[in-house]
Formats: sequence, C-alpha cells, structure tokens
Amino acid sequence: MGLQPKGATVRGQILLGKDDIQAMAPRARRRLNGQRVSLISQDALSALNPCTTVGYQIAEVLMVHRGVAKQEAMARAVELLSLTGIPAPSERVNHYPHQFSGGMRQRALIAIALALEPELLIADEPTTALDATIKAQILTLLASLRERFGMSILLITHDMGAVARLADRVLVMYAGQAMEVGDVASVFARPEHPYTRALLESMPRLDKHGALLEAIPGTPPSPSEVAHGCPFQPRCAFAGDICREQMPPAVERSNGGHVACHFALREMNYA
Amino acid sequence: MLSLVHSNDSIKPRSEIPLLETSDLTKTYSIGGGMFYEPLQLQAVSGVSIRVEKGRTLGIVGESGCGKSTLSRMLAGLTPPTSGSILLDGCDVTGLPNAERKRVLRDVQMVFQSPYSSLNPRMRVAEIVREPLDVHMRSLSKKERDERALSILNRVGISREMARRYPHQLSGGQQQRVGIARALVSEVRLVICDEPVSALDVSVQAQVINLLRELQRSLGVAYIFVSHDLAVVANISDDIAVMYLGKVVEYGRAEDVLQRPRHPYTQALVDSANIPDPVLEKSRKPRILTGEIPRPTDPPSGCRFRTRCWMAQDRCAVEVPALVRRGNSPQAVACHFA
Ligand SMILES: Nc1ncnc2c1ncn2[C@@H]1O[C@H](COP(=O)(O)OP(=O)(O)O)[C@@H](O)[C@H]1O
Ligand code: SF4
Ligand SMILES: [Mg+2]
Repeated sequence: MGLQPKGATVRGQILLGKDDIQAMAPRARRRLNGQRVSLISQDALSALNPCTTVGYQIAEVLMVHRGVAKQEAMARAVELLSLTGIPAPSERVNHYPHQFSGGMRQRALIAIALALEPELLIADEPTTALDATIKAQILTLLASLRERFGMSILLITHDMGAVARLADRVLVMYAGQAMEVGDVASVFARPEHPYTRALLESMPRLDKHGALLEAIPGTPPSPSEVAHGCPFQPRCAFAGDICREQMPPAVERSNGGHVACHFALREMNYA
Repeated sequence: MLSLVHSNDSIKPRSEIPLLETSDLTKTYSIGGGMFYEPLQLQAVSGVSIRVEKGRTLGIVGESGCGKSTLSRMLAGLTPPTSGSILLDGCDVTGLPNAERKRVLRDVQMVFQSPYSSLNPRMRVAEIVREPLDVHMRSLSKKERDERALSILNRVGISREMARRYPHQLSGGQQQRVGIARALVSEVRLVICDEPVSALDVSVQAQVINLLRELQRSLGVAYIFVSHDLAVVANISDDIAVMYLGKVVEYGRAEDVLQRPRHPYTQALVDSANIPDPVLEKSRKPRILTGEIPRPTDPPSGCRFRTRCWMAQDRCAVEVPALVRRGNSPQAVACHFA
C-alpha cells in the first residue's frame, strides 16, 4: 500500500509512521528532518526546550540549517509565531515554554516545524491532549497553513472526526498493519474493511446523538501478540477460517485505494 | 431572585421530588499562601443548581478544569461543599451529621476515569466487588454476598473465571466493567460516572457506553455522566448541563442543547465536535473561539466567558448573567444576550 503524502492520515499503531523515518541512516535522517519533513508531536511540553525562549528555539532552526543571522532569524520567529496565531508575538517570542498554555505550546511547536518551510508536516496526535475548543483552533490552523505553505500533512491520530475534517486520503491501521487506504470520502462513506466500518459505527456522533452504538467486541491485541492471520480476526464479525490462517493480501477497493481483508465489504454489501 | 432551573417550571414535568437536586453548590479552594502571602482563592464550582430524575441521565460537559470532577466528588460525598445544598429525595444531606450523611449517600456511587487506580490491586475482582456488601450489608451471609457480587459481575460481562483474577490481569475495558459492577452491587440509585470512558481505547469506549445504557434500562439507576467529550455525553444523556469555569452556562434537554444551543460557548462546543463525515466536515464553517480558558484563580468579572465571546458587550464585564429561561425556550442559559 502506497502511502500518499498529500493530506494522508495514519491511524492505529502510530509508532510505525515514526519508525519509517527512524529506520533511515542517521545522516540521511538528519538531512531529511526539518529540511523537507518536520514533525510535531502530541507532547508539546517535552518537545520544547524548557531552558531557552520559544523565539530562540524557532530562530535556532534557521541559524543552524540555513545560516541565517541571529537578528534576522529572531525577526522571522516573530512572524512565524504570528502566523500560528499567537497573540502579541513580539512579546511572546521572549517567553519560555512554561509561560505558554497547552494550546500555545502546540502552536509554538508548529512554528518551529514551519521554520524551514517543509514539504511534509507530520503531525503526531497534535490535538489529543487539547480541549475541544482549542482542538478546533489547531485543526483550523493546520488547514490554513497547509494552503499557505503548499505543504502536505501526515496526520497521525485516533480521532476519526479530525481525519474527516482535515484529510484527503486515509490509511487505517490496526495492530501495526495497514487495513484500508483510499480517498477519505470513499473510505468513510463505504468502508470495505470490517475494522474501518466497525470503528465508524462504534463512534458516538453528535449528528446521531442517542443512537445505540455498535460496539466492537474484545480488546486490541497487545504489541507482543503475534497474529498469524488477520490481526482483526478475533474481533471481526465477518471472519472465516481463512482469516485465522492467512494474512489477507491488499486488494483494490471498488472506489480506488486498497483493502486488506479476505471478505472485503464490497459495494453490494451496502445495497 | 430570578427563576432558576430547579424552580417551578423545571426541565421535566415536576411529578415528584427529584432523586437529587443541588442549589447554589459552590466549592472554593485556597491554594498556596504562607506566612507572607495571602492564599489564592479558586472557585472550582460556583453556584451550580442541577437536578437528576430517577432512572434518568444528566450529562455534564465542559473542558478540563471547569469543575466537573469537583462537582462529582461533592455529589458523591467525597468532598465537602463550601456552600450550597445537596438534596437527596428532597432531604438536605449537607446539613446531616457525618454518620447519617454517609448512610444516606450509600445510594450514590461513583465510577472513575482511571479504572486501574480505583481498584485495589491486591484484591481479586470478586472481592473488590463484594467489598461494599461486606461493609454495608452484613445481614447477608457470606455466600449470599459472594453470589450477589458474581451475579452483577456476570451482568457487566465478567465471567466467574475472570472474577478470580487481579485487576492488573484485566484489560482497561474489563477493569472499567469491574468498577461499574462495584458501584452497582449494593442497592444504588445514582451512579456518578466521571469520565468513565476517557482512558479507554476508542474501539472499547462503545462497549462501556452501551453497558451503562443497558444497566440503566434494566436496573432503573440514574446517572450523572461527566465527560469533556460532547459526542459521548450526547449519546447517553437525557439532559445536559454545560459548564465553563465552574459555572453552568446552559442546561436543558439533550436534544435542545445539542440541536439548538443558545449559549455562545455551547455553540462553539457543538461546532468543535468533528463528525466522521468528510463531506460535511469539509463544507461546514465551525465557529472557532479565540483565546483560551482564563486562569480559574482570576476569572473574568461579570460573565466568565466574555474574554472569548463574540457577542460580549460592556454589560458582560459588570453583570454576572444568571442561568435563566427566557420566553418559551426549553433550556436555561446564562447569557445576557442569548
Ligand atoms: N484539591 C484541589 N485543590 C486545589 N485546586 C483544585 C483541587 N481540585 C481541583 N482543583 C482546581 O479546581 C478546578 C476544577 O478542577 P476539576 O474539578 O478537576 O475540573 P475538571 O474535572 O472539569 O477537569 C481546576 O482549576 C483545578 O485545578
Ligand atoms: S453574557 Fe455576554 S460575554 Fe457572556 S456569553 Fe452572553 S454575550 Fe457573551
Ligand atoms: Mg475531571
């Protein structure tokens, strides 16, 4: 399954997305990191250096990677803070991370990530630790920055609503395996993998409040469990004998993309 | 005094005395302070008046720090209120002597966010669930108490075999089932669930929500269901109270609050909930609040929401809006202009 960078989304075993980058040779990785690809993580507090000002942390990226002089780099830091919606950026630039709220730290982290104008921004659970109204701010910010910088976003999240809002394509993962990939409108409207479908059906949604949820039975496997066949098989309503024995190959979805299921739910199942 | 929610024209027909009713419930914490400093006053819960009907669910939603857990703990008798009253069956429990209050509040149990840390790690599941009976129902024989514990465990989907295990041998979802069984094992009438699914894997949350709904249907127990997640609260609640910085800003029947939110904060909260429908999500323009929640030790004067409100006027900085109903509106709103 090819991973499409343009607004693509990974969910499930989120570490895999990171591992891909970490598996590279250290030198290649360092060159990639920040120059063409930037990462923002869920835990903004530990991603920021507590001992230097937020402004310097942005400027430092420009000084190290682009050889920009300090004064100019600091001026750019103010611009970047302003771009990410931080009020009074020329004061904020001299503040330390602990003086920022959770939402502000996430914005500061985005500002650092944007300093080198990456082609790809990897956002690893960027809203998970945030409150609802702040999460809405950050998602809107990411969407507008994507337009402005013409960059792609790889959003790693367990939040299907955030995927619906931000992503063009989606890759659904379970227990470290790719289950389904495709255009987000098609995957959400006509999921062909039983896991995708079950996940969507089990989610409480505001537009259908009060509706009984279709719960997925069982629990996610622990990372140490090695499945022979399909990892979702123990919890799957459609599983047959073959699912226990063989990992299903990825086959094409009816509306583009791929699905890895022996009994992929084709168009007719939706009749 | 303006007519508050719990006065004559309440949200639901006033057929009988509600199971639980609070009036102006307030909790103030003193934080910091020392020899040379005045301690800061933090009003975690400020003048909250809610009511819970028998066998129904009141959802309480709001962002972190708005006072949901403090309110929950006061209602469960775990934290004494600074002022205000809690009426159980019309009887004010805040005024009762300690022993009497404990006896009355036995009907009210709590389910916590973190299932593991709320279960004794050195006890087997069956013992954990039996414990409340060992304390309060000594009239039953040991065998009867065992049977009762196993029977409620069975109802929440924990087998006899699993009941012999220790909490750490169970998954998060199973631990939460045990927490629910423990809350329901004695003759409980109100269960306060404080973020009961927030710590669980998304694929397991629906199991626990459905279980709570099923148990309510069969046991007739009432819930106060607390969560920061509006979609989760919306799924299970008959009524919803929306909190912001310690205050209830909107209160009414779930469908009214969700479909016709009137307080600007509720409107923003409804808008910020993403629906897993890519076409809808990409076409709608959600109202995005500016700024962040102010420090609770220094809340804005007047309306606490005014620093983030797009409708705020001068009056909002001086006058605290009361939670009232206007005209024929079915829900109560604390806003001068809603
Ligand atoms: N024991 C305590 N001492 C001092 N402040 C507290 C205490 N418990 C809660 N608070 C404060 O009260 C406010 C409300 O907290 P809480 O009830 O936990 O909110 P929520 O559950 O909605 O996140 C927060 O500002 C919190 O820091
Ligand atoms: S009272 Fe004023 S500040 Fe508060 S919500 Fe209403 S309009 Fe906004
Ligand atoms: Mg809480």
